[in-house]
Amino acid sequence: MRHKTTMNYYLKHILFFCLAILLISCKEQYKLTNSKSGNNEINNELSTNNFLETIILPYRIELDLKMNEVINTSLIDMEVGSPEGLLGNFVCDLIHIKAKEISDKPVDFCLLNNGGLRTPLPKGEITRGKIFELMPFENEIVIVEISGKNMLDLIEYIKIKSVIMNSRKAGVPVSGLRMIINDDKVSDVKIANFAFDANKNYRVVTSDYLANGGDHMDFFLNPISIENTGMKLRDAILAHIINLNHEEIELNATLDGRIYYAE
Amino acid sequence: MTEEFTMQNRRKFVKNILIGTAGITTLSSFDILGIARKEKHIKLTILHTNDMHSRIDAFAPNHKKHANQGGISRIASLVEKIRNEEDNVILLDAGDIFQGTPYFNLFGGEVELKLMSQMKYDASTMGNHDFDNGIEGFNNVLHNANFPFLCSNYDFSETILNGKTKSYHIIEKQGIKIGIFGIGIELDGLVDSRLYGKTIYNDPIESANKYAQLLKEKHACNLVICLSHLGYEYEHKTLSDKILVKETKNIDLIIGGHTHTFLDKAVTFYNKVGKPTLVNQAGWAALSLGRVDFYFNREKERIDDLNTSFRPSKNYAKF
Repeated sequence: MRHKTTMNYYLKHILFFCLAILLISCKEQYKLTNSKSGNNEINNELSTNNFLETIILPYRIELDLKMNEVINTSLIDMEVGSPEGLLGNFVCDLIHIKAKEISDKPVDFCLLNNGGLRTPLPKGEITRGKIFELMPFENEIVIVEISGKNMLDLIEYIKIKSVIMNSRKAGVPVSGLRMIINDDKVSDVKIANFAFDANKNYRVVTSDYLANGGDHMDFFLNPISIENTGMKLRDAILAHIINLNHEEIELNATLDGRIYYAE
Repeated sequence: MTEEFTMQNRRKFVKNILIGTAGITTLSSFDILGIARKEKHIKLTILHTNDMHSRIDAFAPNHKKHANQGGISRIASLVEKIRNEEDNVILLDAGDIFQGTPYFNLFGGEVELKLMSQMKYDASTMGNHDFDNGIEGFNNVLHNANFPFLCSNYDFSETILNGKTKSYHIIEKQGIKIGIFGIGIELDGLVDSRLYGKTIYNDPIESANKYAQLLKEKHACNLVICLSHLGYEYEHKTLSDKILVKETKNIDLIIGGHTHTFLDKAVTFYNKVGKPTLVNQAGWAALSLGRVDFYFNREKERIDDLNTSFRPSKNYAKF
């Protein structure tokens, strides 16, 4: 029994000692005192990283091969324009066709934005990479049903954009919609070959970006319905161009006065 | 101690305590003396990127705005240089690693994650574009990352990502504990619901407060970093990093993304309890490498007025 008491005595002391040590060490701590910040620009004064380059290389070779693949030939130079442009007509026409294929319901017309067509298509060979340049975004094709009242805003929007001069973003590319702009008046609005009816709803194919009010296209907000196709604009463009190539049809587009200034 | 405790057990117990004490004493005395690995002053270097958007190579020479600029490969060279200069480097990313160049379209993010692993990233969070190939697409390439994805307010438990991301992560550098967590942006309306599937979005402010407190108090982290993909600021009232600071406490640094904001250096804002929180963001497309250096002092007692030990210049945020 005596032994046991001694042990208890030791234990108490040992535990006390441990506790004291722990307390002392707890008192010591790292404290944040200061900070300094400066972000670094990544410019061409920096070299690429050799080891990383060895990892990238096989991917880059495969990528270049794919991107440099010629997928068709264009007969003409296509650029955006206002009130209409060859590039806008080309892309809108093909997206309109695609939407009609995808959807079970009719698609009245197509409306996109010139700001989203990022590079002209040159006359001659068209590579896959060129289409990635034209449409680098991952925007998807959506079909929006809007009221006749919102259609009036849409028509007004096209008019305002079409009379802007000297801007790359002037004009609104469309397909399946025609109108005449005379000074400040819009006339002869035709949709899918029928005269526009403000009491009717219309189904418009566009990009999800614009459908969400991008480029201040507020007339797309609060739509009657919206159909997500899940198809990317770029994929649709690529598929169309590759398809034409299979049919041995080269790329072409015309100006047909769909949006027309009457002088 | 109970009566069942036999003598033999007790001897063993005493022996264990003695060994334990010896260990603690040795460590503690080193602590007190400030020798061994523990220094009086420690500098911690936080390097960070956001919205790299698959920019593996520099922009093309004919690019209008950023010709020959940027690129993950170049960032890697700079990170390597800084690692050679500094003892304690942490490398972080605030999301939107994916999308923006054909590297992503063709390889689904595999290249980006391989390179980041090679660069020894410590952690990242997910941005909205990291969902661009769906949760499945992200999951398919995730094995290329040897660093954790920190998603504190995305609940993936009903998805195939269940258990594959972390709510928080703690890193220790020379005795300094750094707690990191990640706050993602609302996916509804931004990302197609088919892509994020059954991901549950939890309140970012609540989640931030919860994990910041956990890290600072329970895990006694010396520094708490939030990787945020909310965006730096907006004209409207949308939740941003600036608002997040005001609604939270226990966060020392927010590394932001999403708005592609270029800052010269981190900006100081004041949190819910009036304490400074740094917010930084490094543009996009690997055009900038964010950097924040933190200085720690080993102190015997809490010193609230720090001006005595360090004289901060205008560029220095006081903590």
